[in-house]
Amino acid sequence: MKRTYLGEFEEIVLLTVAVNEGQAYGVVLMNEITEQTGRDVRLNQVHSALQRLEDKGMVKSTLGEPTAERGGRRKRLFTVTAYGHRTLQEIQEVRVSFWSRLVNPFKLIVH
Amino acid sequence: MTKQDLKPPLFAVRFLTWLIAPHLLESILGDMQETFDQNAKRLGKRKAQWMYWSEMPGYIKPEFIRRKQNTYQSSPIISHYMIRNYFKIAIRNFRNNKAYTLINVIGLTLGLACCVLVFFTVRYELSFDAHHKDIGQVYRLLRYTKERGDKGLATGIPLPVLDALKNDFPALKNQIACTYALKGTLVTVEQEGNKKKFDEDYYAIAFVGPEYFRLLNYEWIKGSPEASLTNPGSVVLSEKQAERYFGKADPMGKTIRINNQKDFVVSGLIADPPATTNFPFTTLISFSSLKDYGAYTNWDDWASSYGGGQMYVKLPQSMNQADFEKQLTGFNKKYYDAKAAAETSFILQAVNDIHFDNRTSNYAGRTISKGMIWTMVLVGSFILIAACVNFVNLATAQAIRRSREVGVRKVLGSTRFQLLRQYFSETAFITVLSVLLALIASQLALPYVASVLNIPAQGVMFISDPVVLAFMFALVVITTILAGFYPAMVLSGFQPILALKGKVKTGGSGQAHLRRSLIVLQFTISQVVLIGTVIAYNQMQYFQTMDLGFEKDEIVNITIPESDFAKMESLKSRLASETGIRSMSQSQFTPMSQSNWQTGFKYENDTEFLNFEIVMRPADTAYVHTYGMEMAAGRMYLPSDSIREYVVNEAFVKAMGMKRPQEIIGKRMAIGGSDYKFPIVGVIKNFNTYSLHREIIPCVMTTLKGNYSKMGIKLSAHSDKNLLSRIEKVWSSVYPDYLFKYTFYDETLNSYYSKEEKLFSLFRILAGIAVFIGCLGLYGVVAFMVESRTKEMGIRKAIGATAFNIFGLFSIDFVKLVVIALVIASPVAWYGMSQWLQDFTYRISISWWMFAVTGIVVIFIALITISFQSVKAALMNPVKALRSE
Repeated sequence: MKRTYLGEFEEIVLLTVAVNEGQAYGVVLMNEITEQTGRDVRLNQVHSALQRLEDKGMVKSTLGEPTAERGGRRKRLFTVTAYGHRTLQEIQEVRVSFWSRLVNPFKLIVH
Repeated sequence: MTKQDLKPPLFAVRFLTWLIAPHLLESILGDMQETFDQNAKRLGKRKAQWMYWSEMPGYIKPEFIRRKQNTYQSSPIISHYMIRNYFKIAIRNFRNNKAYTLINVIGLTLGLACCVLVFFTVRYELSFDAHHKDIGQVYRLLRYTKERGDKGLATGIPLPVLDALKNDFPALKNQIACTYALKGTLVTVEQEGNKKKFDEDYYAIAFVGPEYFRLLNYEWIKGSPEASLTNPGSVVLSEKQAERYFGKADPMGKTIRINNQKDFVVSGLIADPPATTNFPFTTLISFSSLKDYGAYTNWDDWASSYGGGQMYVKLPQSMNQADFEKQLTGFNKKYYDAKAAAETSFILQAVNDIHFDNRTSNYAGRTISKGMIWTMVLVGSFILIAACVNFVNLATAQAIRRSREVGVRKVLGSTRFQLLRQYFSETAFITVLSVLLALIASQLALPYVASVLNIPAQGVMFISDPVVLAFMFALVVITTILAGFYPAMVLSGFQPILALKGKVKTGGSGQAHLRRSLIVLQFTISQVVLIGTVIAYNQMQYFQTMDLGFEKDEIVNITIPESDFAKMESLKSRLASETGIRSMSQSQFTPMSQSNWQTGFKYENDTEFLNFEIVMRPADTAYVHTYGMEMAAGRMYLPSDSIREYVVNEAFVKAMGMKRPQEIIGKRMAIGGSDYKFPIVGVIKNFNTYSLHREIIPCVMTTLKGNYSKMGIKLSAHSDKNLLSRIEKVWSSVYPDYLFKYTFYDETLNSYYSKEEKLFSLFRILAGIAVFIGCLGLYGVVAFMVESRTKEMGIRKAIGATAFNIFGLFSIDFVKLVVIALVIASPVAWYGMSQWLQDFTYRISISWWMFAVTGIVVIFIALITISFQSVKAALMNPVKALRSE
């Protein structure tokens, strides 16, 4: 199975874009990832990942309307492309198949 | 917290604005602003700012910096649709402005043609002897007499020096060669009982040994240096020479006879030497033949030398010129007495310099100074610059007409780069057209220019010469940049709104000043060249009309090839019976001659030679009458076959410190090596002995029949056309073994100034071109002025200005510029031309009227040029001009 390589962080960003469909732009994505993963994510990392995802054709972007709070600057809103969706799907399938073949599933440690 | 305080750090924003690609910038800055606002609210302003800063380095990554290729990527950078459009617009533009286009094309064509010809000439001049390997290590030996300065460099080296050099410098034994070349030689070839006679006018024949070929490279077709040029009596021919002598037949083993004296057997064949060589030998005789060749060669005489007998040495890598010259000082002291060694020395001249050194002669008979070459380069580039100036002037003047086009293009989305490209391509279009025309023009002009510059150019085709074509390509690029840059910048810089409203000013003071300065520059260039031409013309006229002290018209010179007294008398008596000859005289030289016999003399009771230069003019008694000279005192000597009496010139009397010519009559003196003293019986009025580059030198005339080699025949006023052929018939029957040659004396004398004459005609052409290009530019600029001031003129006329007023209005402006140019040009031309005149002993003085004449002529030409347009403006109907709103 051949597909474009997707880094772990890229995968998270792509998933976050998919979750926040219609509202996905840099700041929102950064806050969301920080919240969900607890990592300290920098804005430029998010932008960089988005840029790479766009180059790979997994997301596409449009410019939104200018808003006053951003100094009149427009937002770049991202949506996942069909190719992006398929890629996410494939990743998920690969993982599921590996999990299903696990003979002794790990015991979940509950805190 | 006010809004003001909530701004992210300004510098960081600026840096990011500069750094990040424009299509990403807005959203990224927006996101950063939003984050900054959140942070400021949550953590405070200081922390927020710090975080903003710390975010910044993360954007120094290629994916943020890389600019998007083109917003509308669909159109490639060079689209053939746009090219076609540019082309179409350019053609329309040229068609609408035929006059401008014509001026540009003609101007550029002339300028470029000059450049091509200058390039060709300079390349030719710089390629002399460059085809020999290691030519930088080959030197010519010169004998230098310090006292005589530049004139003290002698190319001829006494023959015994050769063996002495080989003896004293054994390491260089095989690297020293003597070339003993003959001039004015008769070659006889016998074929099937027919005698064919060839006159070798220049240094075509040379005695050389095999070692000569270690210094210079020749291509051998048959034979080799050692095999062909070791034995006495053998000769090697160049291919062309062999064909000339023997036709298609194989020349090997055949015989040629030199000067009816000696036979030589052809033992080898070499390729023809190229035109660009100072060693144009086509007949090489083995050096070992020289010993018993003839009377001139003296192998024990350390003092006498012959200009054609030169010596060359190839130094090894380890030795430079100064090293060897130092060693030659010791050599000089060893073989010459103290006095001679102190006065003269041996020095070296790089073979590479021979072609450029005016102080010494060479076998090719032609030198050109590096200064002259650079002058040509300078003038060529100036003319090209003048043509480019026209282009710039006209294009900026015209820019206003095209402002709307620029406006529309900009509104439709042209970038400045695209506009620059468009206007550059228009310039390139005109340049390419001009270069093609220039190629044709220079090809057509080449034979003429080649004859003026004395360059062989038969069969030279520029089209097929890759170096010339490469140069042409470079010219296209340079000219396009020179001519196209400024107009393209002006045009593409228009503000679209102003351009569409037609409010663009091209008459702005900056551009007007530029245009004026450029016109001044052009007219300065053309006036420098023109003043040079006027001065050169006056100098040439001065030569033509100067009183030389003898007559040169209607005199024919023929040669006396043998010193056989009986034949000389027979020739004279048989010619005397021909009608149409007024008088004739046999002599060694003509009065003014470039070949001269200089010698020392002993005066009265002196036992030592007097230390000044005299020239000898051995001649019969009819000399004075034939050449129309006059006696100042005493009488002509009596007829004799050997020296009996002397006649001297006034310069001689003066040099001896006497005031009146009578004083010297009766004094006795001995010349040359002789100790027998004979009396001076008369003084002849001064006449010029050398070319006018030199002063009149003390001169001694005497009878010395054995030396007579020339005959001067003064024709009478009613001599008929057939006289020359009758003289030839008589001459050929007296000297059947020789070739009849004649020259008209006035033509011979004129040829002494052929170098100047050629320079002058070159100047004349360049001056014409420079003035013409200048006028083209002026015409264009005036035309533009008239057009852009149409309304003003209409109003002036309506108020009551006369046609003359308006004509004056336009003219005075430009006449001023021409006058400024004259003021700048005069000192430049004065300096340059006074340097040139330094070459002549007899020269005109540069006077103010030469500048005035040039100025008046140029102003007159400029006025005519201006009047084409300004008269049109002056006679225009004001109603028409004002109605056009």
